Amino acid sequence: MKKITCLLILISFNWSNAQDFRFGKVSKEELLETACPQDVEANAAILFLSQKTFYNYVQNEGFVQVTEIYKRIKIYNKDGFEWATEEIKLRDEGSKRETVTGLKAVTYTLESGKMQETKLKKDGMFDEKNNKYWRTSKFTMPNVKEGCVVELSYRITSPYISIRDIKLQEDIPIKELDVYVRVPEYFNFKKYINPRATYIPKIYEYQERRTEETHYKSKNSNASLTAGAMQSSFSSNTWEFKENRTEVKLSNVPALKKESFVSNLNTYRTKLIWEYAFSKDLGGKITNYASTWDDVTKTIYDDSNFGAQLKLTNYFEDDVSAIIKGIANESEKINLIFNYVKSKVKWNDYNGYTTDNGVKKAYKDGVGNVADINLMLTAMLRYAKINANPMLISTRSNDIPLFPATGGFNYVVSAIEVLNDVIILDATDKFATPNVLPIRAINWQGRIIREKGSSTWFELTPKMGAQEKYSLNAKINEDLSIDGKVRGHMTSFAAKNFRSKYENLNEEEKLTDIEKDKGEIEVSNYDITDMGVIDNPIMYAYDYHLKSGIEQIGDKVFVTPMLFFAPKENLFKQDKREYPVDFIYAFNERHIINVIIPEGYVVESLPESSVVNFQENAGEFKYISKVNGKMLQFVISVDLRQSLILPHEYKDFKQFYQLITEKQTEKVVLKKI
Amino acid sequence: MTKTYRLIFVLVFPFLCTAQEEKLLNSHTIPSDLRENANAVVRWEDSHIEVKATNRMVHSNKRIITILNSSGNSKVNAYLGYDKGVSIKKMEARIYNSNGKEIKKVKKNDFEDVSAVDGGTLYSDSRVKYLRYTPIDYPYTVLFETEVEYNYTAYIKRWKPIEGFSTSTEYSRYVFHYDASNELNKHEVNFQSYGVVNQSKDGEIHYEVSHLKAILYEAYCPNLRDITPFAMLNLKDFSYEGYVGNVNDWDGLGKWMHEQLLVGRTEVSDKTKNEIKTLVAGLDDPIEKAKIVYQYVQNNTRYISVQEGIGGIQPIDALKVDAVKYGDCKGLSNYTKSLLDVVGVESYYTRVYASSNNLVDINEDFVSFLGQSNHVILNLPHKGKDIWLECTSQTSPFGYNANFTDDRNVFVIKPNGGKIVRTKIYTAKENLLDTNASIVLNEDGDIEATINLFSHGAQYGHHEGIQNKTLNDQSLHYKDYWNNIHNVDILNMTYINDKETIVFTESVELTAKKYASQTGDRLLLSPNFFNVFSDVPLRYRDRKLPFEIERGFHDRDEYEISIPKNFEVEALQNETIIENKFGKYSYAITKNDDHTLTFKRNYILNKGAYTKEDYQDFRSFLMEVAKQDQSRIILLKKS
Repeated sequence: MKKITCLLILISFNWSNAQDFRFGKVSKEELLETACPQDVEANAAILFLSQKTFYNYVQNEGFVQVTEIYKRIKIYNKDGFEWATEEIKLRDEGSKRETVTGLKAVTYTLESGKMQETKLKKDGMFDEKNNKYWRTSKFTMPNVKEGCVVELSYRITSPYISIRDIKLQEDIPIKELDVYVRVPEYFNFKKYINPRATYIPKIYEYQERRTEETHYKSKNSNASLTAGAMQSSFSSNTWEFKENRTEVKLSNVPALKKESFVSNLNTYRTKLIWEYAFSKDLGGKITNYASTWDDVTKTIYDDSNFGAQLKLTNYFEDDVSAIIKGIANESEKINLIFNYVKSKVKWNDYNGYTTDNGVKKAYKDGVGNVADINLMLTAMLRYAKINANPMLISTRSNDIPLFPATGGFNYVVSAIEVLNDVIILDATDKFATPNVLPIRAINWQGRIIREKGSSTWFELTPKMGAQEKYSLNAKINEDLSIDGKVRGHMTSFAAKNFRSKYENLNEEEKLTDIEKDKGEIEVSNYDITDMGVIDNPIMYAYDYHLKSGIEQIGDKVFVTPMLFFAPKENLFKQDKREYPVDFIYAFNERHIINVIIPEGYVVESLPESSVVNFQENAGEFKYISKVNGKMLQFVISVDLRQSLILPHEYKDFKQFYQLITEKQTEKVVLKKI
Repeated sequence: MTKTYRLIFVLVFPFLCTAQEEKLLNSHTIPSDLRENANAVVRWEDSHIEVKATNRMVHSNKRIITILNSSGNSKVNAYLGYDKGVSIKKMEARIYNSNGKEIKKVKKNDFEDVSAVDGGTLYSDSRVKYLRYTPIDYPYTVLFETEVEYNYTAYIKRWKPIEGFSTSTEYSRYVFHYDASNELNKHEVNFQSYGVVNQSKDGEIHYEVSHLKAILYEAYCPNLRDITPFAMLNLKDFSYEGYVGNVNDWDGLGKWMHEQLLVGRTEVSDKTKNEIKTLVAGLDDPIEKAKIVYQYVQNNTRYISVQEGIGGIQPIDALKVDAVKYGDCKGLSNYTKSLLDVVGVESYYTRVYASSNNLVDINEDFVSFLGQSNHVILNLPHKGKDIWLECTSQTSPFGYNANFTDDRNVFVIKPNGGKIVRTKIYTAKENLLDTNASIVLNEDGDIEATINLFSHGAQYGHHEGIQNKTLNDQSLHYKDYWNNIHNVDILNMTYINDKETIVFTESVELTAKKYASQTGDRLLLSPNFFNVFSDVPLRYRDRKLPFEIERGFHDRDEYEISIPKNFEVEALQNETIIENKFGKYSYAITKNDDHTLTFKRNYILNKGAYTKEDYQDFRSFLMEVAKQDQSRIILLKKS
């Protein structure tokens, strides 16, 4: 029955397409094509991509996952040559590992009008053990030239049940794509299309029947389905069960193209994401991995590297008690514990929402991964009677988490729910403060996993952005040099960035840094306060002598009130965008400027005061100018309250920024009398 | 006097006794002047290398380094690279807190073990074991002890006691034992000025130095190995991957390399032979033939790097490249040479240290088989001149080697010998960027412009890449390139890439709103629309290092500016000419008639090496250029 269905699909498929997508059936037309009709700028295109993932039943081993890949790639020009190299990532944990077999790869070229085939040989293939968990099989095609077509097919056999995410979009166009996944009823997956993708494919699902032959004599009723044992309790020779088939057939999938101000392009890639939800054995018994948030919460609290770690308290009790002794104020307690963890345990650069060495060892050694540190923090906060819970996060480099599952996450922080708000703490970064997380962790939303089994999403985009306030005093001398003083005041992300940058600089390097890009300037008395007290804002002050701030033409003198703080250009030069501009956090920047003009000059013109808004309330720019005898006063502020600018808002936003740039560079004109 | 003092010092120090070691493991004992400007302090570096046989060399090393802050972490350098020819006998690290208390011990098998393949390589058999340690606190000290046996002697570890910027060295020793009957080559620089004690004798090299202060990085400064103590050694009798050499001059080394590694690898298939012969049929001029061969290689091959065993130094057979149509620099150069052989054009395999900046020479006075080069090109001698072919590029013009292998000593290998030759120097005059434009300004201050850029020499390499970008990226590129102009709309872009004369032409049409700013009845604008210099280097209160300009260039601009009919010129700058040893700059704006102006600018920066005292003048020159480039003229509305 099933065979007939397959045959029908195959026949109809071939009839409806002019091209033949069987291995080896490359046409002359394909070789002659000089540009991709859908995207003439593409350096290469995938003419056909097929992936078949299914589970073979192997006697004595159970179900084994098999993925068959077949690609036909057209290379239009030299910049497309990289597509002639294939790297296959394989899980390899020694005894349990994925393998590649049946590799066939051919390059097709036209040589004086005749099609020539060049096969990949064994010595063109390389195998590299990357680390403890991964191996890469690599090969590059022979005889690759502009205009060639390469074909490759191979199968990956995997002892793991879980299915890797399936890319439905590449960095080059895909003309035809045909993917199916067949999963026996014993394994249940949840499937999602990346919700941030701009290209949305259609997915078809069917149920089919499948029959397997078995040759069991044993009556052992251990009903496991995977590696180790399929010693079953039934006696018949044929075994029928259901399979769920998922199918995606696409034509002309657009390339995923890079854009500036996007931190991880992958978050916009169209892909089919698989989450192993539960398995059901032959007796009908269900083992849950994750399917609802309640399951996730339960699973995760049952995990010895998560829940159990949160329960451990004896290793820190004495120390923490001593620290918070006599402190009644909650936020004071939170800060003390937060700073204690930061000073006590250092991050080893490993992510993960489960512990590596365990909190106890991390505490003792002073080193741990993200979970070691932040689960420890959560446990300490709970011990101090603070309502802290772990919050699962997916880092920017990882992807975005969306469904009830743990697989999408790779990071954990500590969240304290207070009235109408949540305080988020991440002790892996020494300059992080409450709600000021390292950039890597600020990715869309996090899931708070409460102790009593409930859970909830929380928006990670910071509510309080960076605050920067500068006061700039400038006295213009008769020789048109300027003497003055600058004071800076920075909070939250601005202060955090400043601390990271200045952490290891000596006095001389600090001066060199502050003089950078400010023209012919000499800075003295540069003084920075509260570098070390990270809960306080950063404040700094310096005196300067500037020789290049003023332009003189004829009897007129021109000066930009913001001097070296004025922007050099509008950062936003694209006319339109595919993906949002991500500022990560909102910001507020204000300059208060006092300029004293020299004797013998009068103001001929002064930039006018003005206010500009973006999307009513999302952004505001204010420019206030005033003359007071010899004193010119300016208050110039930019307030960006929305950190993610969506593509449809971009045009307005660019204009908003353009106006800011123009206004901030506008000049005062002085005239000699 | 100094000598006696040094001698005593040395006698006291040769072995590290327990009490001394304890002292060095404690970061509080670092002399205060060694902490200045330092992120890390090498407390003790002791290299002991012994050549036991031509194919056996043992290197024992003991290193104690204190890391003062997080910027110093990269200086721990507790790693060992290895491949089949290297066996690690001992590898151990211990970590101490600031008081010298041991907090962690890392044994050989606890080091991370990863493949040492870089991004541009498909496969390499080299691997690296390294220490992965998360500092709990600063300062901390790492004691790293290794013993490694090499089955080759072709490359001997170098000595560079000042390991990098912002790193000081309390004590460093380097001892090398070899059979005195074997001839030894030495390259030793900057020993005296840094007080290096050299007690070398027959069969033993022995250097010691102590108390070297940290050096801060400064803009345009030379390589550290050229201005601080540095030593390289090489033996006349050496072995590598089973190959045995016995040469001590470039001539002999070239002959040896040719015979051992190159000869017999230049066959190609008959099919290719015939193809290439047909292509050059009827041509006599060797250069014309070479151009056709070069084009053939560019059209038919691509760069893929695979480094395995002797393949790290020997090219893969031309026949193999012929079959798979890819290779690394060695394979592709050898393949090109093979095809040139077929058509009777002489060419030579050439080893070079390729780099786009920090030009590195192969030292003519220091003969060595390994370690002084990282790339291979081809040398084509023609009528007393040399042509250099970069065979890994599919697009480079014939004989173009700017920005990668230009202006340096390279090793040309010939069947009957080898020699050191200097590659082409691209002079300031040759590295010309000609920018011509005609601009129409309207009374709102908006402009319409047609610009032609002609780039030559090294500047050709900086510009020609634009043609392969997408239209969107091309347009963004110009908006960045002319970021002094706001509100730009790029209307049209066309390119001519003349590979024959090596000139790249860009023609761009654009408009920009409000280029000129309006104040009352006046329009203010900078007549330097399209080439504003603004990249003035940092000011150093007390510059410590000399500086270098590695490649000169010449920018020449000429613009015709048409001003609105109802405006007239109110003020123009006088012509400015600045000339000094660093270069020459001129700026002139002249009135042709009531409505047109001509702007001319020339900026030449010379190649040169200068003392630290010159830096301030150099910076002032650039500052002056930047200032002049931004200056504006005034137009007045006619009443």
